[in-house]
Amino acid sequence: MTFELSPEHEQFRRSVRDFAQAEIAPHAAQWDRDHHFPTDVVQKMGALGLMGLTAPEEYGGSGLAGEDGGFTSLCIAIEEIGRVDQSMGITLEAAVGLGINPILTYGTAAQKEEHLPSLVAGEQLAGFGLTEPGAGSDAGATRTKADPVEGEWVVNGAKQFITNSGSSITSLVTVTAKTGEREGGRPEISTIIIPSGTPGFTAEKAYDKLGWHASDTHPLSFEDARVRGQPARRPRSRLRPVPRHPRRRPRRDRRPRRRLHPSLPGPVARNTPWTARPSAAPSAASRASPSVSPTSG
Amino acid sequence: MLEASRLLTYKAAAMKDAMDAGAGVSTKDFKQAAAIAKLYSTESAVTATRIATQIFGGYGFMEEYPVVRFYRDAKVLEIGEGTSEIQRMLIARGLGLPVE
Ligand SMILES: Cc1cc2nc3c(=O)[nH]c(=O)nc-3n(C[C@H](O)[C@H](O)[C@H](O)COP(=O)(O)OP(=O)(O)OC[C@H]3O[C@@H](n4cnc5c(N)ncnc54)[C@H](O)[C@@H]3O)c2cc1C
Ligand SMILES: Cc1cc2nc3c(=O)[nH]c(=O)nc-3n(C[C@H](O)[C@H](O)[C@H](O)COP(=O)(O)OP(=O)(O)OC[C@H]3O[C@@H](n4cnc5c(N)ncnc54)[C@H](O)[C@@H]3O)c2cc1C
Repeated sequence: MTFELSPEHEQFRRSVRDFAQAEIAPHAAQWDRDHHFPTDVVQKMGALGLMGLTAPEEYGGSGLAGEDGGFTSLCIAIEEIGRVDQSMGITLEAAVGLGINPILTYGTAAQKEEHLPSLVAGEQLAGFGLTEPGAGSDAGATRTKADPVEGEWVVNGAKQFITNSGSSITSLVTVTAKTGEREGGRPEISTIIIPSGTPGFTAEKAYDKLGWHASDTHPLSFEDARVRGQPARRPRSRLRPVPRHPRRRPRRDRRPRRRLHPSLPGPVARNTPWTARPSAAPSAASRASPSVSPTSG
Repeated sequence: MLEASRLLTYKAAAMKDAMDAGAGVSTKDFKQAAAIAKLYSTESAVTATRIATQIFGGYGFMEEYPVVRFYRDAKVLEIGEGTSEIQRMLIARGLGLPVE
């Protein structure tokens, strides 16, 4: 019995390794000493297609999701970048898992259309703010709240330890906030997109961390930060539909980007042990699937 | 440890791809595999880098060599995106054990 990645995935690993060796490895120690977040290199990871490995082509992604092994490719990319610099590894992981994924999974068509192209291209970054002072592991204890006022959400509260949330290329943060109460007194927690530059939203001074010195981590504060539109999740019907937020609309750049997979037109994961040997698949395939929550910050 | 971490991680990744492709992997099984991979791989990273600094003796405490940065950078892996304690809780729950 052998467990190995497909030849295509191994080839992909080599191209990411070459990139990491050339663009990141020589500088990692210096960035660590200087606490420098290299936005140009982050954007180069984007130009290579690393932020788009799990995104559909309509937003500029690889379209390799599912049987084409896009998620496996993402893990390979994170391993190879992290091999030379954990800071850039987490920057990539958070850009996709926390920045792009919640919008891709739960965003409205308009939100996806507006935000995803520049995030998938890696030209801009999005953070995901779940953790608060007093609400880390216990995400249900969220105190940040968003009140509907005249077709806008008014957000008040604070978040802490938020990755990719305050860099010069951060275009937005998606934050969890209490939007009401559910039956039985449990809080109703929604996710709301807050564009960088929204008055009342401040990414405070970056943390001085034990490690990950070249990763961008900030406390966030919200004082009557007003955003138009609907939360990415559980849109509430009693709100009037309102025009989309016009501020800082990302440049929609449709020029074809250099693809990381020029030689990989077809599936890249068919030969992985899990997909190639159905007998190895879990027997509980028919069990009910609970819905996935993006709040894993 | 590295080999085991890779196997667990890429197994979980392949399950996620198979799940997204509708190939008969349940969300519950994928989540369990992901929690196990996250817990084991991150704790392995901390252990491996701690042992690496030890091999360097006194230099394992000095910023002159990259090994110190590897050790510093590893620690947070046990904390972010669900701490080790939370992963253990999720895994126990996934096994059907009573977890409050
Ligand atoms: C560098 C960095 C980047 C981060 N980036 C993000 C981000 O982008 N977005 C985001 O939302 N968050 C982010 N976080 C926050 C991270 O997810 C939290 O720190 C983590 O979830 C733990 O929460 P906490 O810090 O509040 O600790 P707490 O939840 O207070 O936990 C403290 C300790 O108690 C333990 N503990 C807690 N509850 C239990 C329990 N029920 N049983 C047993 N033990 C328990 C924990 O395991 C931990 O050891 C980041 C953190 C760091 C350090
Ligand atoms: C902050 C700091 C302050 C210090 N202050 C002082 C001081 O004031 N005065 C002073 O004299 N020294 C001082 N030292 C030095 C310290 O005592 C040595 O670093 C320590 O004795 C280890 O020696 P080494 O660094 O040469 O490592 P090595 O001896 O090269 O050891 C490297 C690794 O190999 C292992 N090893 C070595 N030999 C064997 C063996 N036979 N069997 C199994 N494993 C082995 C060691 O346990 C270690 O893990 C200091 C060190 C530090 C980091």
